[in-house]
Amino acid sequence: MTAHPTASDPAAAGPPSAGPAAAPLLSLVNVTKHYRGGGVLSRSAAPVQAVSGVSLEIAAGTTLGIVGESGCGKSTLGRMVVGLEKPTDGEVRLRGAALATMTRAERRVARYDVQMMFQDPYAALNPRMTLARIIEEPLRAKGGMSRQQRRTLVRQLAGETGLAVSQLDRYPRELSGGQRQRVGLARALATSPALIVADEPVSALDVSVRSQILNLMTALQAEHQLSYLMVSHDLTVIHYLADYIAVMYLGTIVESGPPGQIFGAPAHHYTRALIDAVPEPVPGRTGPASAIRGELPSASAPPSGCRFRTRCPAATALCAQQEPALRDFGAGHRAACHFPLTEPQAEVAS
Amino acid sequence: MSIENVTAVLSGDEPGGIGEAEASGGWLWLRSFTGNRLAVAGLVVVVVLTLFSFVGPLFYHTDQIHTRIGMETLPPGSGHPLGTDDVGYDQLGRLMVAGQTTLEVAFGAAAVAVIVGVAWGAVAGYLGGFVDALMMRIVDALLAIPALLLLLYLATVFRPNVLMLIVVVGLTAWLVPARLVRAEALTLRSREYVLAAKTMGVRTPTLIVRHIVTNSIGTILVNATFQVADAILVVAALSFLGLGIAPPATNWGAMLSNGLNYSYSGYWWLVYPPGIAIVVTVVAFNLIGDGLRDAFGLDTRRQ
Amino acid sequence: MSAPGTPVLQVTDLDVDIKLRSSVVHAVQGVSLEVGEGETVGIVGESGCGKSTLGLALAGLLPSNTAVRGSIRLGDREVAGLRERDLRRVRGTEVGIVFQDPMTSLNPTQRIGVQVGEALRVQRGASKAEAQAAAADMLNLVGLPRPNEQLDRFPHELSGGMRQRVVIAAALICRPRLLIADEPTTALDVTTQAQILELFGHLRETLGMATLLITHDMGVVAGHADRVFVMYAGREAEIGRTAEIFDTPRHRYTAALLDSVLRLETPRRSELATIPGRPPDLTVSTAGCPFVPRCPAASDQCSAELPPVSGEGRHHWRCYHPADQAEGTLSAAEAPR
Repeated sequence: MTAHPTASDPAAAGPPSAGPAAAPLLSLVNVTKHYRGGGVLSRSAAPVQAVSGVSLEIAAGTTLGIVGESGCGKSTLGRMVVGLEKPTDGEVRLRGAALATMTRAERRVARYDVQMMFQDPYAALNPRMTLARIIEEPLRAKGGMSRQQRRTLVRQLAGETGLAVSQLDRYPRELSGGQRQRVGLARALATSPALIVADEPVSALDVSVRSQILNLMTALQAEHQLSYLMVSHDLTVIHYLADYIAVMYLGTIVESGPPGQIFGAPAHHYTRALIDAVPEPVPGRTGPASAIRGELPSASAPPSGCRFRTRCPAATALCAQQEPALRDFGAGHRAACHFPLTEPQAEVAS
Repeated sequence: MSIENVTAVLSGDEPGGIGEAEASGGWLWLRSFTGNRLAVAGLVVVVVLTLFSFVGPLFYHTDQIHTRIGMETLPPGSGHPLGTDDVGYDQLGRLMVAGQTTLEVAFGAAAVAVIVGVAWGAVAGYLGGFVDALMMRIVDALLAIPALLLLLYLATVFRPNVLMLIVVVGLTAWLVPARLVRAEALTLRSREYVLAAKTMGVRTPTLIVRHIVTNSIGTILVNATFQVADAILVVAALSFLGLGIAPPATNWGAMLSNGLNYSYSGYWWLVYPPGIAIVVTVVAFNLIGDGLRDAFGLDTRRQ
Repeated sequence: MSAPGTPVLQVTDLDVDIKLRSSVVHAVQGVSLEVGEGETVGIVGESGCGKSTLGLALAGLLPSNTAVRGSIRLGDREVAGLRERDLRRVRGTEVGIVFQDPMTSLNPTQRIGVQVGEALRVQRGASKAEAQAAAADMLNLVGLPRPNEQLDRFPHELSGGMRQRVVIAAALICRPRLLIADEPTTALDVTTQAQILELFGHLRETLGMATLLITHDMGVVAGHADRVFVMYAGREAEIGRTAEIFDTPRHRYTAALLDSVLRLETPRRSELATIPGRPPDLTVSTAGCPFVPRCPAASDQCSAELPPVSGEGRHHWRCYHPADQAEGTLSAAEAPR
């Protein structure tokens, strides 16, 4: 009765691959994370369904943007990719190999290939460590380098991220938010990862500083052939940086596709509402009246059928009975909706 | 900037464009501490008393081994600035020697308590879950045992020497720092820099020391100073009850206890010097502890 | 009641100094500003510009380690320098305040109805029943479904958006003439933010109060403010009608700020305009314009003396070398990085 809005086909949601399929750098196959509800003494045992059945791919050198509001599970997803959390179901695969099947040693090595950049510049750096030590820490954990080699690399990373070498002996407290994010980026780059998960990397920064960091991230991506998994609630940032976008709501992907499609011809009502809600810096433009109503349902009791139906202006009885399957809208654009805003081309084989 | 950020800035906690030209962040608390006159006074007192006890006897030689009948309970006068005690020891010299023992046991016990407590609490708080629950229930159970009674019992079983006292007092005192550090660890383990360390593959013991313990250093130091003060009082109490170290070793508590036998005889020099020494030392450590607490910004009520 | 035509709020030459342990922060310097009846004025700037301190000063909520100079008039009445007792009467009746975080703005141990009606009971001596009834009305006005049921609930039972509506209801219960909102939507999801901003518009029409909207988000201000006041380093940079500020910014900071705002139209992966450097240290007073170290058009005159206010109509700025219409705003290519 309920069709899972994902496909078992590994090329479920990802940019249309150019040429013969090389294993994507990272793939998420039907990844699910449900937290057990409450504690030992809690009355409700309903699990919190943070992420349910997400399938995504990231190719080398590209940026995947995940956008959604609070409670959509995007941060949890980011943490699973980095290894801070383990999925309760499904697999996270790095270069085709599932993390769960790796030995501890293999997983340690895989770790260095995927690093993370955090949101809060004030909490992301240990206040009692100098910048040099902070950037050096992943190198010490990895091992295999002499002190001198580490120091050289740290200086190099500082230069690449726009930090003055003289600042390396300072403490985070003396730096501005933008500078701290640079340190975070330098630290993430230390082990030469192939993928950096950036969780709201610029949300806590001033407008003018945001552009500095985004410029830096773009430059570093080109320089190091990096991939980014960019998690954000800010559509303008996602639009700017992402090569492929996935929109999440209450733990599932409701729409995914290239930015031109997502922003130009959104198919899902939630995507439309998100785009409409972005306040444009154009005088007098208040944007269309928000079409969505109501409140975000609880993640431990998501609505039956389509999770968005309780707030969707186009919801019908069908939406409550049957979870919509992912449909193809061409050019890698997919959405899960019974009454999408544009015409689908085909059902994605499930 | 939100109101919260503004109030943080207004109380000088955050840079946020308003730059307070401070020394490098790691030693900020030291500057704050040295600005606090009471705290510095406490520190000076402790240093003076330590020098008095350990260096004093090098300049002021007295025989603290052999008793001298015929010289008992002499009031302060020529040759004996604080008089003599009931077995003829020079009181001033005795005060110094007793100070050595008192301070040794106090620092030693505090060190044991802090090291054991911090390790226990940090591990429990960081690991969380079942391990944390188990470890903290053990702490709760041990806290239920009245420390003094336990010490009294142990003191009767083992004839105490300095080392024994250190271990025994320390092992009843570690419970408090354990709880404190565990609370800190619970807060710190979800900090993003701890998560960052995890993603880097930093091994757990290193992580606990480098990130959890170093960021609890404020709480730990403050508690350590109070541990010293408490240890002095505990040893004094034990000696008071007659279960201290065997003579000719002594400590301030024992001196006080001894002197009180003669309080009705008017031999004030047997009572006041050790008593005042105890009080002054304990107050000094408390002042240092308060000063450290302020310097680390730990007491939010003060603001 | 003040004479018609008197601005609801008139600030003249306001200075706010914050005394820290070893220095003094000049958080607000020489700010003058006017808000007319029913008008919404947006105060924008980045962190450390002083906008939140200004908001606190206008609400009479500055802590004791601050010094305020200058005049703040609410209607006919001078408010700067009032004692706490008198200030308390002003707050809640003449001025309503909404802060950023709805989680901490509400007392978690008190029911919603009590908190919303509190100002009525304290300031107007309303009875419990009267206050509850008024609270229910207000909750309805701010768009909470089933307001009578909500009265007995606790804050933790509501979502962020609903909580913010409750906070707004509480701020407006005594129908103040001025509402000060400090980053009222920053902590909310973008869809909830849109709803709350719509609510502000609706309340403006219904209640006619003036609003001071303090935010760092240029998009919010563009759609919801009649006039915009741009702050930098504690000082006024520019003030004018929203269209004037966005279409013809004059102060170099305003121009640079608008250039660096990321929009949906910004070409993907293009080189973004930035403002190099950092905001200045506010513990150090400077004679000249504070934007000099970061300004592409700065001259010696700018460093020597603070530019006087120049302007056309109600559009004013403090800049010796304003960006003018001929050259337009700084393009991304021009802007130094």
